[in-house]
Amino acid sequence: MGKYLINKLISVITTLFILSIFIFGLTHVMAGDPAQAMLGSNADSTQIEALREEMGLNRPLVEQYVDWVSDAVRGDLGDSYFRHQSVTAALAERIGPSLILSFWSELIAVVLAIPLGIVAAKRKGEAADVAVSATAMLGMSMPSFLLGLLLILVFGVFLGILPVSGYVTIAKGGLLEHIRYLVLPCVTMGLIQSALILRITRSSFLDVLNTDYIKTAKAKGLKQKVILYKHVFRNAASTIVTILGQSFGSLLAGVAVLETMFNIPGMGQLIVDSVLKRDYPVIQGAILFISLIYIIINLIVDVSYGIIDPRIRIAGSAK
Amino acid sequence: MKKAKRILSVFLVAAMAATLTACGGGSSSGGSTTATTAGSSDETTSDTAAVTGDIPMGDELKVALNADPPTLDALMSTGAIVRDCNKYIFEGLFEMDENYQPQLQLAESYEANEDYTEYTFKLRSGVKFHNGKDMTSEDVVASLNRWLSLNNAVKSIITNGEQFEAVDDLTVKITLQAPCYLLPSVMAAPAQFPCIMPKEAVEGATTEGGIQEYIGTGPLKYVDWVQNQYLELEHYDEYQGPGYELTGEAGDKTINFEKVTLYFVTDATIRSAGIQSGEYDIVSNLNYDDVAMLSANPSVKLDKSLMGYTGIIMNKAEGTLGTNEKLREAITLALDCDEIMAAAYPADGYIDVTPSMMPEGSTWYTLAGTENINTKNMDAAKAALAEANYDGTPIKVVTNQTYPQHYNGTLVMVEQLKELGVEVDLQVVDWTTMLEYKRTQGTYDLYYMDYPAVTAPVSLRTISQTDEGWTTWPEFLELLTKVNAATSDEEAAAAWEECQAYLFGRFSFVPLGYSYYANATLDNIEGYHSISCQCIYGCYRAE
Repeated sequence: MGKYLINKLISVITTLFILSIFIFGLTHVMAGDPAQAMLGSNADSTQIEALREEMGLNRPLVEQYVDWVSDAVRGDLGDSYFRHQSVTAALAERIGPSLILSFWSELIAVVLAIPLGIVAAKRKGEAADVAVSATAMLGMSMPSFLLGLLLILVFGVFLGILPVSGYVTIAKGGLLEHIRYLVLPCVTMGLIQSALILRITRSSFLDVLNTDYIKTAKAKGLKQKVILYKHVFRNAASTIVTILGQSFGSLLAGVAVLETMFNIPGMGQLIVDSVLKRDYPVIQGAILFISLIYIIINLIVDVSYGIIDPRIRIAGSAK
Repeated sequence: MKKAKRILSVFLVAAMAATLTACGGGSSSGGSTTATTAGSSDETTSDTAAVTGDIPMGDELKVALNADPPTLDALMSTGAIVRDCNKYIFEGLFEMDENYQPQLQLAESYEANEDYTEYTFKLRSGVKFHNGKDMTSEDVVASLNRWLSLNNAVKSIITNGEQFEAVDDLTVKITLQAPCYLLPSVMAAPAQFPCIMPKEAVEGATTEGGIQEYIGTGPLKYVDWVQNQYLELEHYDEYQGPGYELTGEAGDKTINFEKVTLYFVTDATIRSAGIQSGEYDIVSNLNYDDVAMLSANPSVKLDKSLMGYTGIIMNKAEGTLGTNEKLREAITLALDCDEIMAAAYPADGYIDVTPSMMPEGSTWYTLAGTENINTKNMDAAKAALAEANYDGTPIKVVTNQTYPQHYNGTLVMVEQLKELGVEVDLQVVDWTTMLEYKRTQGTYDLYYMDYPAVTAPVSLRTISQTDEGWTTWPEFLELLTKVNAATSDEEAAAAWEECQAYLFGRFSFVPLGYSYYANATLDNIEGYHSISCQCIYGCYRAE
């Protein structure tokens, strides 16, 4: 396990370093810059150039990169040009809503997708399977913003029972208001995520149901519930956990379209806003941070394989 | 089983942690010597913010705006959204009335000498900032000198480093080396507005970040600002207006709510849904496609306010159009402004197709030189194209989809250019890239753009010499100095007429007209009317 972690750490550092060059290069290749975005469409060139100089944007790119990376290694991701705060503070502020949304969306997705996936696998070829599979296909095909708009129309405008956008913390509005503002975005994201999880659950279950050991279990006369939840589920779990990890990671990175639409101050909105404003330190810091999140999630998923399936052990830790 | 329980425990702890992280977390108008206030009321305005008559004081007014301000410092950005947000916090010595004329606001009066090289402003006494400090000349001098150093338009007319200075506690003066008749107009212009704030706030401003505190004299006080989310403001009970009825943005600014929250809702569909669901009391800049639907909704009232003027900017410095005036003429003759504007603003009543560069109703309005604008004469255009010896080089047209009106108007314009016989290279970019392209040679030949209404031609972006088409003709610049050096409304208007005639005579720019925002309020909001974008003064929630 120790050797595995060391190797993983080296791999993470290498990945982040290569990524840093890529991110820095991409952000600075984009036309436009933060001075322009700050001063607006009616600023003249003289003013823009003066602010560019003030922001240090006229320095050689290599010099800017070295400064940024050397600070980042020490944990200083720089200061936002627009937010009057450090990048770290901006990320800390935005990760909270993203965590909340991701968690509840993933929960909705799991609660819906896994039982339905199991049902579809159990009743393969029957009406239930067709209905569930078709719904999953629809969910995978439908753009998230379209579903979001439909839900807003029905529950926000026609029924008027839920707010159409915004985010309220518990401290500001109380628990009930906090939940009211979360319902539509979480249900939207949860439904979209559930489609893929359902299909993966169904196909994983089908793969395991066709194995010899399950046939043996059936032949032994074990109850179907025991077969399904003790044997099939355990063996199919690795694949499902993998997709759950990817799904949660993408939610945590911020579903930009939905966060912008529902006006939720999460990571997605932060990144979109920063890209539009060319807030270089935030773009760079946020992408590095999200990359780290993905790496950590993948690590957790890797470790979980060993817990789910004792036959799988991390390299170097086998008995 | 044990492992399953362990996993479940971890899961539940994560759920609790995720939930807990939710806990966390707004003289008179030009020319005369001694000016007085514009209105007729002589009543004191010691507490104009209090409930007047039977108008009830509401709890909270929720307003949805279409953009997210990059800053609340007017001098750090020319974006209209900045002034739309900070205008309730900060006031200036002058503000713009409904005829786009400057009116006294924090200044009680002003005097100018005969040749407009010396201005003396008398400040209103007893005006307090939101932090309780009395407004004095040192605050005004600090604020205005910062404005002189950062405002583009004023830098083009006050070019010799002149500064405001305090004469006494309530008197401020500036002595200019060249006449500047337009100074009050420029001081009332919304873009990069000269907000008056305490001297300490000015001194605390950084070059990169601007002001760090938001303390003004306006009817609302700053409470909290969460970027991309909202700006929270609260009623300022000590507000003192200038003592005359509100006209445009000038006069007594009454707020009939304890709290006002400006939400930044960038998606027009969500703003539309929000007003229908009652989540917002006022929304600005709706999709024109939603106007018909909302006008049929009994719980919603529609309103419109001036967005600004719109036109086609042509690159006159270089490129295919820069060296070929005949080609510019052909394009000008070919463009059907009505069609373009109808595509950009597809709702009845929200456009005013007029070729004047200054709004109707202002003293600068003129139709000089507009004979060749919107003629819809494709035959004449094609004849001009033939004379232009056009070699088929594609005309680079740049647009963006951040503002749908830009994109939609451009698409129709491109079709008209193709009908003329011109090859077009259309590039669609994001907004920040568009800003870069506007000031970079070689990136465009023409583009469609709209601009906020201005109080004086000197503030027009379409005559910039350093970008936006590069209007650098020496003859024009000489005519423009006459406008700045004028000493009366008539002289200035006549000089501007010559300028406009020259510009249009050389096919500098194709003015399309003026456009209006589509705004909406809930049916129970009374007294709402905006001159530009949105303006909540005087509105209230009826019982």
